[in-house]
Amino acid sequence: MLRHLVKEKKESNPRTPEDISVKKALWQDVLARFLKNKSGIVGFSIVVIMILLIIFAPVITRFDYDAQSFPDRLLYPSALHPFGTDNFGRDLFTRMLYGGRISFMIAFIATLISAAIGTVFGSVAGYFGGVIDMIISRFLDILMAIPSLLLAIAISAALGSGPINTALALSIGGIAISARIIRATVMAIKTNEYIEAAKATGSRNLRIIRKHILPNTFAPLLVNATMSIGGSIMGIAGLSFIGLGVKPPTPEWGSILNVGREFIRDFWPMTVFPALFIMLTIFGFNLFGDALRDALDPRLKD
Amino acid sequence: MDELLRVEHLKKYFNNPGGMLHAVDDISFTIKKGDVLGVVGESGCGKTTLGRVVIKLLEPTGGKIFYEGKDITDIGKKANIELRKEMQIIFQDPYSSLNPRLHVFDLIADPLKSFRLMGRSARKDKVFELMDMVGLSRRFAYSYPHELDGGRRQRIGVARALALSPKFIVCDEPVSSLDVSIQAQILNLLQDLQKQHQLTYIFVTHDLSVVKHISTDILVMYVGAMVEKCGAKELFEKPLHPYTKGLLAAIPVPNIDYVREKIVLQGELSSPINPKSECRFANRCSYASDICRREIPVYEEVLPKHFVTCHRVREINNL
Repeated sequence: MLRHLVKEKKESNPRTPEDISVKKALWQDVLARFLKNKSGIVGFSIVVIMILLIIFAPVITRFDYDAQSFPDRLLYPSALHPFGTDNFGRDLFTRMLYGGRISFMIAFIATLISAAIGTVFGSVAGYFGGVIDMIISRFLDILMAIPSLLLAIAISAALGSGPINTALALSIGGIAISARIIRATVMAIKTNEYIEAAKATGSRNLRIIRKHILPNTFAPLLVNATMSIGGSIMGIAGLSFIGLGVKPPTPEWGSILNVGREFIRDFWPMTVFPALFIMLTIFGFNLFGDALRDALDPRLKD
Repeated sequence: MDELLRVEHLKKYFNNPGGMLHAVDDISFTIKKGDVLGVVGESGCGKTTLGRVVIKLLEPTGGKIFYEGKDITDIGKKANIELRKEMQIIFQDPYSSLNPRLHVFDLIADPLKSFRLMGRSARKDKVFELMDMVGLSRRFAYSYPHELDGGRRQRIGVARALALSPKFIVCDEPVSSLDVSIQAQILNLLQDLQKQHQLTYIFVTHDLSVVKHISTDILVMYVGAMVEKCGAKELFEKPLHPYTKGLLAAIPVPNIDYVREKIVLQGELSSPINPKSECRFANRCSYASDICRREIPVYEEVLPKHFVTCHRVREINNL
């Protein structure tokens, strides 16, 4: 019923020849559907607020994240120190904000690496099939068989800690997941007649993958990437928590949590706030990812 | 007039869990320049596969294909891609045959881009020219296919097939997924284009009435094999094979006073997987006798330019 009305409206207002050069964007549709999803907006807001907080950290707080002050150690939240101070008297709120920078940066890099490599493997395996698919898929099976955190621990231990190594360690676990998603999507797209049409009009394989297949895998890839950023933040926190990720004094949510663990009986802010930040961020990314999936899936139209 | 395409004993088998699926089994024909060969048959009889194999979108299992006298059966990958400029295909489903992420302009420009044939502005002119040619208003250039109706979508498919100026086009059921009112438009368009540009078609369809007007010759297929082939007019006036007769009897006639002989084809298609050595139509044929279940009939010229594959064709038709 609604669909019918929309169609009529479109036809009664056809675009004039003058505006034929205006490309209508598919994302307008997607945006409209996304805005209808309340939990998606909540997730998106959480993510945006987090990102704004960590970007404008120097403006928001006037403390230095590594300015120690012995008399002020382990203070409970107050007007001056909204989250209190840690065991070296550093402002905990400031450390949370700067700590987020590292977490987000590593998470973005790790997701980017795993999405890029996963896309290459997945599209090649899905498109060519046969022996190539079998080799790549078995390789991915091996990657999947290793628990990702364990793999990350092993890689961090081997390469040493540091932001870049942590990003690498976390991305390897994600490669298998994104490659699988892309492979399945590509296999589904490949059965469409327009792929055969592209072959019939003389496109070579690489061109078909690039022009006709990859643009259509963008939606699931984006959803997976959003979700995996949340997962990566958790992974970084986990690695730092066991001392393999970011080393102190560089602030990081997991390592703050780790230090706070010593004081858990007597001083709650040092464990509660980092945990809350980690939880909220992952929650935000997951809600956002879910809503994105719903919005990008054209089958769920209206 | 000289021949454009000759196919000899063409075979295409698919490996299937149950055995070899004989999708196209020993098909031979010749098409002259400017002719239209209608290929008719039930769903699953291999007519679509035949169209794909003839233009080398699928590699044949056996047989030979000659295009303009040259053997194109075993040419390499590169030559195969070059062949796309000569042979094109129009697809059945105008929904799945158009990439939903591209708008009309890019869809039509795609063949030109993949061959890097012309510069940006020349390409633009060419695309608009193609749109005019297929009767697609220029204001749709930047619409997405999902915004258009089936007829307009199919026009995009036609324009895309024409972009490389081919001489030979396989029309794979181009109207069977369209509304009846639009079918006629697209058929007329295809016919006009064929005449204007001296195109040669293979027109694949399951609907005999569709090929009646457009075809020069009609080839009737049954489970991968040829059943009957002759001029279009002759097929409708004097069908010889029992299967063709059944097909023709199934065409509805818009006249309530019209009384005709009822031929009902009973039973189901025989399996194309590892077919037995018998006439494939035997289990549905009312004339079937012992020999039909024992031997594969040969494809022979029963009347001048009228080929039939049937053991008893002469008895049945009193020839």
